[in-house]
Amino acid sequence: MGAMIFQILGLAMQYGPELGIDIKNAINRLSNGETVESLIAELDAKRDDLKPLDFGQSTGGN
Amino acid sequence: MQKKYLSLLVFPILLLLLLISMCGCAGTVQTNTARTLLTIHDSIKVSAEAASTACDQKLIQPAACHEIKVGYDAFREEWPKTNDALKVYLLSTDSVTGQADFTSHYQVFMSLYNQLFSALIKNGVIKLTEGVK
Repeated sequence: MGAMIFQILGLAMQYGPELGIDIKNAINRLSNGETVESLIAELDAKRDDLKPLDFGQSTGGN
Repeated sequence: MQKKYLSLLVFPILLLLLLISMCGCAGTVQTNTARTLLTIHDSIKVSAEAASTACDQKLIQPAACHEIKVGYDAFREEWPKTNDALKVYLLSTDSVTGQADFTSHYQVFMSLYNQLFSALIKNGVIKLTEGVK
């Protein structure tokens, strides 16, 4: 029974990525802790936060 | 008996892994790329604001300020596009979907970052030798 489970796991790791099932990445994500949701929230928050800066140009710098 | 419990334990773990791997989430390459770009964005934001203040106070030559402004404006314009492409790339289930569009933005973004970073160093906004003995 145990051998069969590991055989299935091995096959899933070998052929899974072609079917959109990436077990290695799932293990990495669990160990990494940083979720895609948290990254996307941070990207959304920082999407438009670069303010226009004049670098002294409005005071006749150029 | 022990074997039976082991089998009972392995099945939920296997199921959990399969669910996580199928949930349309990114792998480590994608998350590491996102983290790198966010760090670049943060460092440029701080540096550019410092440079703008220094330019306002006439601490940097006007020509240098102009060079930094041109670089910053281009970087600022590209960032939301790269940001959007990165989100699509992050949500793709494998490393191929969404990669082509992201790669083209990534190349432009990194090129603009290189130009701006070089201008910031060349004009003394970022001092690489400060504190070196």
